[in-house]
Amino acid sequence: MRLLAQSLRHDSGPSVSVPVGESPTGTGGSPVLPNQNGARHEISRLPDSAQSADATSNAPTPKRGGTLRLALPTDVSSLDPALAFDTISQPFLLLLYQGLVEYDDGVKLLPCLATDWNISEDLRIYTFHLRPGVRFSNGREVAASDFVYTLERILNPKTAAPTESYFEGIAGAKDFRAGKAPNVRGLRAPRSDTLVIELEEPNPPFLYILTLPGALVVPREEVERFGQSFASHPVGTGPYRLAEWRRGIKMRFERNPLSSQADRQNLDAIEVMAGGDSALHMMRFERGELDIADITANPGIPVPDFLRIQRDPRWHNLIEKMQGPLTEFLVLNTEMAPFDDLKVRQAMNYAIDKNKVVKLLHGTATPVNGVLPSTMPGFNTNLAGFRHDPARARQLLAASGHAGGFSCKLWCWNEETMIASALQYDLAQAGINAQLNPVAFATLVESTERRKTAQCSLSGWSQDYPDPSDFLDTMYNGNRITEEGCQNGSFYNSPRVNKLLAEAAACQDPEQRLRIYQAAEQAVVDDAPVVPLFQRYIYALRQPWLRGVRLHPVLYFRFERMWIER
Amino acid sequence: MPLLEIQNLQIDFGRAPNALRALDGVSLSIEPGKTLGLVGESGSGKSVTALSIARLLASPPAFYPGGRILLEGRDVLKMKAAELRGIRGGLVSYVFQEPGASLNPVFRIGNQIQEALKLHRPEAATEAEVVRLLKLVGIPAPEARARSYPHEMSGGMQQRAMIAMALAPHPKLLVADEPTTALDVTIQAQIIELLGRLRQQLGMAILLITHNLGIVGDVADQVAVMYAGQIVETAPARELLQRPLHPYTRALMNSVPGLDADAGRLTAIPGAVPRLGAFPPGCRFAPRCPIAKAECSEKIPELLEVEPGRFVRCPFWENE
Amino acid sequence: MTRLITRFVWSAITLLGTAVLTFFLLNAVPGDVARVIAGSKASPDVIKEIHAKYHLDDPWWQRLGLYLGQLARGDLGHSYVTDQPVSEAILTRIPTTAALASLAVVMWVAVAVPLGALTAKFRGSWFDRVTLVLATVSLSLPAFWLARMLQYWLSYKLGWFPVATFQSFRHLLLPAASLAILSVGYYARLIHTNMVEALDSPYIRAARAKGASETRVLFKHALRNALIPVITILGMDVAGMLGGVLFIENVFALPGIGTLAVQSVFNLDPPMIMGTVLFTGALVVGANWVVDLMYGWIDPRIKSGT
Repeated sequence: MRLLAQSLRHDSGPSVSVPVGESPTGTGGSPVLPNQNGARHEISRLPDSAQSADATSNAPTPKRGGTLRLALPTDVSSLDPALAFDTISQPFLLLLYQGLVEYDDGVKLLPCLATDWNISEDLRIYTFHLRPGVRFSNGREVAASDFVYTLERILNPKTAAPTESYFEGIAGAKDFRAGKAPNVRGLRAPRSDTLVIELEEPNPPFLYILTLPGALVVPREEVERFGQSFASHPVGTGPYRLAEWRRGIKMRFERNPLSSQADRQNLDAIEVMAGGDSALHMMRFERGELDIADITANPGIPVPDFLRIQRDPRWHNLIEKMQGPLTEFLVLNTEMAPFDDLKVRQAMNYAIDKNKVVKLLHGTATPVNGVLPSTMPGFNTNLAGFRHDPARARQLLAASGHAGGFSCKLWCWNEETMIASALQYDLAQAGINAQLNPVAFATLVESTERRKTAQCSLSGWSQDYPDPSDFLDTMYNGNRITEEGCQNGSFYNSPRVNKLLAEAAACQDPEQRLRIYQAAEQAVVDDAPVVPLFQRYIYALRQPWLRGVRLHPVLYFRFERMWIER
Repeated sequence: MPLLEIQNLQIDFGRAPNALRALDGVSLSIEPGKTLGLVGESGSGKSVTALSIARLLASPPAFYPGGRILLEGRDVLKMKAAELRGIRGGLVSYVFQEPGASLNPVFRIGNQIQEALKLHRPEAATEAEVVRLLKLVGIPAPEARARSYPHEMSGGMQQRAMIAMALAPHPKLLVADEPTTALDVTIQAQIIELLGRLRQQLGMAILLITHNLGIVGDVADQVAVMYAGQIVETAPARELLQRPLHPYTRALMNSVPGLDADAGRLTAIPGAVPRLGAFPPGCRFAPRCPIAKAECSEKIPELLEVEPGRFVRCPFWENE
Repeated sequence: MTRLITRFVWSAITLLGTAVLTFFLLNAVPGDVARVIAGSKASPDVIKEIHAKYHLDDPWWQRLGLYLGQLARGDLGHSYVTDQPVSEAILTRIPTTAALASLAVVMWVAVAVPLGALTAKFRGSWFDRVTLVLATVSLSLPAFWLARMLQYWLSYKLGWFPVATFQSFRHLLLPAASLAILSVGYYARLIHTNMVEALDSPYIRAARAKGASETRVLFKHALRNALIPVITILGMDVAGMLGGVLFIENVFALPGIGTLAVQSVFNLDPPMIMGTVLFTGALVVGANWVVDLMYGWIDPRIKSGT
């Protein structure tokens, strides 16, 4: 869904796929398996991400000291890793908590609280060896049982964790949730420094799932002590601890003295003030009151200010830029007329001029032909898409019995009416009368996820982790259609695509797997259940004295890697 | 030297060419310790005269095209603000017609009297002095009364308090502008009696403005009668009351019912007082005068001194 | 005594009515707070769990009853979104709003009183006329626009003030000034009118006759009377002020009741919305009480209500 309220997707099925190294350009690329004994991977960098001057090869030495000053439009709702779900809280959770593995500067995984791991032959059993001497901020040393507790807590229905469905693939999870078992069979701590996780079925992206906040380790005694208010009294192993939280007003993080990661503790403190919109934050930033203009990455520089900032000699060298791991598209509900007709859907695709929309966004996005963003492994640069051809659109409409055009209701988030209006205009040129229906975000989500409700809607999807299944299975798998809460917003159900997706899920060869996904993507694009539109860039505008600001393709911001140099 | 001497005072309201002449050559004087009663109907200009003594008329709209007001020889009309503030209260004090409205409703009586003391006799600005003054004007339970608000007192009490406030700075001249008009008849008598007593006790001069001839006789030494912005007769009080000479004065006397008079019809003066700007040419009383002659309307009569200290503005004053 | 009791009863009814009305309005608004809590990607199961936890599926009269019962016990509940106790949230915000409002009142009184007094004294002069025009303009300014303009020009462009948030006294100056500008025109004219009336009163002439200076006459004698209706209007104006406070706090991102109220609406957070509405309702009712009680004390001509 939309970046602003990006949460983690709901995935109820296992998928057997192998996580691969990124290959954003060309097909395949060089896939790298997570090494069976978990040795270090190469750190790889994403091409296409423009780095500002300081992120060059002669890496400067970080300085210690200073307070990072940030602002958010609304306060983080919770610092409980089991409950916090959105892009905004993620970087703060990572200040406080850690998991078994973590991302490098790109999308490869590195050991974190696990030093190494083994995966069984059948890809079902993961054995992690834990790093010794790691302590929670309350002083206690971390043990394998803590991970067992953390994951069981996620699966416990009483927690109502938004991400619990990701972990349902663990053996015994379903019984535990149904109350049939007191523990989760697949979570075992044979020794205090060894954790074993057994899955019902092989799921190669499973290591990525362990980077989700739900898997960040928490201490049982503190959770039980604080109960509900654990969300505002975090106790973790991260480089920072929460020093102060005035709800809805201000958060302040200070160095965790018990953490051994000195290279992630350059900053004395990180302060976040809640309140004000992006325009206000921009004003504050330009006046030197904030160190980063916008940490919501949506897109990071308000569109109205974009051109001005780009041209301003004071700021244009301080813009970090990254291709966003998300795409936006117009969803066509294949269960509602006239979008049940392929010709009509194709006409919609021909009618729309993506380049014009991108111009409206002042070049902060690039047009896309397909459903996957360019940052995704398996991105197909040779994908055949639809060109802008209003005459062809009209032809197709005539052929499908809609020579005089037709009317439809176009749902959109009320902050995206500009884009929706541009689409409306293009459609009108082809004789299609699209009536805009701008609504609040929550309403949009509810309506588009309910069957036979929204005819067409302006929507998007941002990556939860770097694997094509995140996009293709969630949104185009006909077997995942539900009456409500369905993320297959076009209710698309193609036996051919379903088959391809199942094949990909069962495929063990990483290259082959990507090829199958590419075929699936092409099939989807040809069937036109959506009109792919564009992929945004993500920006970060920093003050000249703030260094180490490098956008991460999944996490966006990692504050613990930054430092201040005046 | 007279304490107060008004010489040929002219007062206009508004500027030429729309100026209305309210006072047209008014002259009077008061010796120290003496009481002058200034009598006339409403609209005669007596209040304007009184207020002008301390220059209390708002200017604009009041202007002084001619004449002088001398207080102890100094011309009030030429005084600067600071000097003016000094004589207000310090030399001449006022008592107004509606005591309730002339006292500030949000301050206690004692507070207001103390203010008068602070302004002119700061060394005596004490509660004790306030109480003494209240006793002097005959207010019972003065300590309690000092803490009262004006609205908590009767009309008579308010007037007494006002008098106390006026006396506080030890003025040499007390100007009482219709002090009893708004009060009951019995209270009127008390206040007039108080004024008389104070006059004797304190030796202060009083200018008593009233339309009521009846009360003038008890307190005044001299009486001046005003009509349409001019003085028409001046005489010692007893003389005027026994033997009024101007036709207007006579008419006024006749219209006052005496206690022993027949309960017949009151003799009203026919006609009405001319309005400002609508004065008739010549003698201003002529249209209503029973003995008016043709020549009366031609020229304003002069003020004739018919006897030492007796002035009349009518050439036919000897006619009955 | 009966009067006091009647007043109390009516105040309670007013607040109750406010609570019930808000409850119904809240129900009429589309959108599900569970979505806000769980996020857009949460499964329907999670949504169901949240619905169960907060009784969101119960019939309205049950939910209303539950809430009113809670209220009767003095419990304002917990935010559905942050789980913070509503009363705690409100209490932590009060100081900021109080500081802002007080500073604003001080500012506008400091300007309105002399302006009103002097324009009354110099009635009809160019000074009076110019003030009248400015006052009318200040009355008509939209709060949000004024705040943003001042912020943009004085803080952002010129850098004379901090742009937003509340970190020091300096941070309050511009917000308080915005709030003050909105009201100063009205109060200056109100004081002007009352002063004109006071200055025409006989006791002013009597004060001058005592030898009081013009300053004393104006600022002691006339003003004291002219301010009586102004103070009562000020008290009753609390409700109007709160509207301005809401906008100003949001523009300047001040951590007060105004931002709490707006946030809770965007979050569709029922307990917090109810809490802020009730609090402001209580504030208005309380202010009217205070004014009523004070009236007898300020104006000696009125015996205080018994």
